[in-house]
Amino acid sequence: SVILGRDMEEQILSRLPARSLVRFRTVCKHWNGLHNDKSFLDNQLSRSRPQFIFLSESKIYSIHIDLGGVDPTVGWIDYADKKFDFCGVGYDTSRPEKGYKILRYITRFRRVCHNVQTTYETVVILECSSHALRSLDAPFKQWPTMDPLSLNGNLYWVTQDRDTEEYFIRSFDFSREIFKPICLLPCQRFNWLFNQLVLAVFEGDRFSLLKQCYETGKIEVWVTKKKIDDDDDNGEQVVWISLMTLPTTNLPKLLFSDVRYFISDKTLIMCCGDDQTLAACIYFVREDLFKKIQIDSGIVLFSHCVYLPNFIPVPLEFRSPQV
Amino acid sequence: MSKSEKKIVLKSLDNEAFEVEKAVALQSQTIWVMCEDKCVGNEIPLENVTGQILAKVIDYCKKHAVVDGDGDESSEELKNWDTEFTKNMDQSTLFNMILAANYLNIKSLLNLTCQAVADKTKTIDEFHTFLNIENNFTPEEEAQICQENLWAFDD
Repeated sequence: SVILGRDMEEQILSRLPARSLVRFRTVCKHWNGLHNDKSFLDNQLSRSRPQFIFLSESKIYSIHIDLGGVDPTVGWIDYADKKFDFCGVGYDTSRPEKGYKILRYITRFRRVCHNVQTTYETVVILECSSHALRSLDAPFKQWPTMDPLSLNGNLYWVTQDRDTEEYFIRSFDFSREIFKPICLLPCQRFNWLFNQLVLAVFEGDRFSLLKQCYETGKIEVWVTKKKIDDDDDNGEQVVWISLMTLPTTNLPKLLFSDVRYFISDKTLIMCCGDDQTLAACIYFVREDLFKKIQIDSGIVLFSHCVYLPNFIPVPLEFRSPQV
Repeated sequence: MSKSEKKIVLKSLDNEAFEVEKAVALQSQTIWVMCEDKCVGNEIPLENVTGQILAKVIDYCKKHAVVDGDGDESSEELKNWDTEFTKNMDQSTLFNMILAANYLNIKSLLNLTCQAVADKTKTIDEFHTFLNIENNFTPEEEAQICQENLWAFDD
C-alpha cells in the first residue's frame, strides 16, 4: 500500500459527497477530527452541489445526484415517516445569532351570531425559540401563491400583479417581517394558462427562472447577473441574463406537474412527474444529453424540494426528542 | 529556438528516460521552476516517480497540451478523455498518480486523480488497506460515532 500523507488524504476527502464523508469519520481519529476543522469544512462546502429531498406518502428520500463521468446516476436513502406542516422557514439576518422563524397559516374561527361560526385564514409568524405566535397584518394578495423558495433566510415566490398583469418576484423578509416585491421576471407568461414558470436558486445566492412554452415544449432558463442581496433594496435593478435554451425533443410537458430543479455543470437537473405516467422522475438535460431516471417503482403522490448539503447543525428547537 | 531546445528529457526514479516536447513537460510547475532556474540541463531527474507512472503522467500532459484553449467542444472531449484515463486504473496506480501529480505540481491532474479515488473508494476497509491507515478507535468510540451519525451509516 501507499502512504499519501495528510495533505493528500484531505485532498481526497474534500471531494467526497457529504454522506460518505460522515461515514468515513470512523476510518481514524484524524479523519474524525477534521469535522471540527473550519477550513476543511469550508473547503468541503464550496464544492457541494444541490440535492433533492423527496417525500412520498410513506417515506422521505434523500436523492444524490452524481454527474461524475459521462453517465449521471441517482441514489437514494429513505427515512422514517415525518410530516412537515409549514409554509416556509427563515431567520432574522439582522441579529448575529440566527433567530429561526416559521411562516405558516392558521385557520381561526369567528362567531357570526350566537350559534353560527365561520372560519378564516390568517398568516402568522412562529418564533422558534420562544414558540410565540404573532399575527401578520398583510393583505391576502401578498401571501405566497405557491411553495416559496428559501434563500439566505428569506422566502421568494413568483406572483402576478393584478392590475398590470405582470409577473414578478415577491419576498417575505423574516428580519423585518414584511412582504415586499423584488423584481420583474425576464419574460412574461403571455399564454399564462399554459406556459410554466419555475423559480430556483442558482449557484448559492442567485435566482434562476425556467420557462417552458406549452406549445413547443421548449425550455429556456435565465439567471440573475448578481447575487440577491436583501440589504440592498434601495433600487439597484435586478438584471437577468439568458443561460440556456434546450431542444424540444423528449422534454416532458411540465404544465401540470410540480417541478423542482437546479443547474449544475451546464446541466438542468429536474425532479417532477412524468407527463404520461405521472410517476416521479429525475431528468438530466443538456444540449447533448437527455436522461430520465424513475424514482423507485413509480411514485405518483409526492412533494419535493432542492437543498444544498451543509454542516449547519439543526437548531435545537427543531430537533425531535431522542427516543 | 533550435530543435534540441524544444525537447526535454525526463528521467524516472528507475532510470527510464522519456524525451518530450518542452511545452508538454512545462505543465508541471515543478519542472517549469527547474527549467527557469537553469539548475538542470536538458535532462531532468525526477526522483520520486517511477517510469510506469511517469509514462502515464506524460500521456496526460500530451493530451492536455494539444487540446488546451480550443474552445468548448474540445473541453467536453477532454473531460471524456480524462474519465476514460482514470476509469481502469487500480487503486495503487491512482495513489501513485496522486503522489506524482502533487510532486510535479500539476493541479488539474491532482484534481482528476483525487476525484477518481473519491468516486471509487466505497468502504472504510478500503481506506485502511490501500492507504495504510490504522484504525485507532476503540470499538466503543467507533460505535458512538455511528450512533451520532446514524443517517450516514443506515443503508
